[in-house]
Amino acid sequence: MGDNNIGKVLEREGFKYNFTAAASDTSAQDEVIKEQDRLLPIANVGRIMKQILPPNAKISKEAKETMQECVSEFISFVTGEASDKCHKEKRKTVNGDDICWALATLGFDDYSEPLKRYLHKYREFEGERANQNKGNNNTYENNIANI
Amino acid sequence: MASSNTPKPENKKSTKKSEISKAEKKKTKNAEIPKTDGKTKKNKEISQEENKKKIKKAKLSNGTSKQRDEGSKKGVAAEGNGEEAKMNVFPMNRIRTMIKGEDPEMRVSQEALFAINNTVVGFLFLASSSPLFRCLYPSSFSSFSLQEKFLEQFTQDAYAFCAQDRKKCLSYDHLAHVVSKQRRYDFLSDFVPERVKAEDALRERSAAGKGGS
Repeated sequence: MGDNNIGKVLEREGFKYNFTAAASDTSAQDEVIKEQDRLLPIANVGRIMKQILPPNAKISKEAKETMQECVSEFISFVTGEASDKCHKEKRKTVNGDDICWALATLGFDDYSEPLKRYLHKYREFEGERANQNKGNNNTYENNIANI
Repeated sequence: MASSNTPKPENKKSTKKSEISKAEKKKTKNAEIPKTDGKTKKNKEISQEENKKKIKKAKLSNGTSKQRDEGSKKGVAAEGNGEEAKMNVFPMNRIRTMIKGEDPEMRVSQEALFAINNTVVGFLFLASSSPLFRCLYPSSFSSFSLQEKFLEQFTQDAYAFCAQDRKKCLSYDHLAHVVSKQRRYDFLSDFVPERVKAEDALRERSAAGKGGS
């Protein structure tokens, strides 16, 4: 009973949040997106770059900052394509399959295939988690997907 | 003992890094809070707590998770924690904010955020790849190796230029070379142009001016 109530409350909060986000002014959204939020953290970017380079290689801060810009543009590039597809199909929510489709369309086929495998395992993982949490998360995500 | 000792220094490093990100996030949150209603404040408070927890514990968490879920997570083995910590390389809310900037009315599922998070990791590997290393994801996703496909094709790119210059430091010029020489990176040409001397740029500018008149 307690779990069911918690799930319901969370669902309501989710809906309200979405409604508020949709109703907010354009100027407010412009203010929300600030310079520091426009890029991914430079520490994370540098760490990933280090993983792929030999241990004696060094990365200048300039290279990391440039990579931050590249990654941000990459996200906008892929997300824009996925968003266009959702608009054509009159759907409001972008999901993982749309991202895979966008990657394939934009020429990143070598990203799209591994990502499909990843999504498959992710869904299995989430399925297990949903069972552990007695289905609350699953219900929440399903509702969002149905909107 | 050795395995248990290993993650401790990582935690220390992560806490130091998280402090910086905490400061940044606090600034943005302070700006956001006064403009919202009481109801949305609760939602944002929840999200703030989640962000803090992500920073501190670096664990996987959905928007619906609460203390009970955290309790169950604490019970998870150290390996599980490590795997969960590695799953999310970038802050999920940051990616969501960037996507909202593209189309404010777009709604993005949690699944899509995960997809983009991992695609970005692969993108970074691609752009700074090396033939000497192939990194795999944690064991629970061992079959997923985003690097395998493109490393075969692009491992030589950025580091090859770096090696040509016989330098140890990967710098802007190497990235600019990769972008300018491969078609698939044309969409980055505005962001990573080849370096040009000021003299040449001014000449082109004056030539364009003359052409205009």
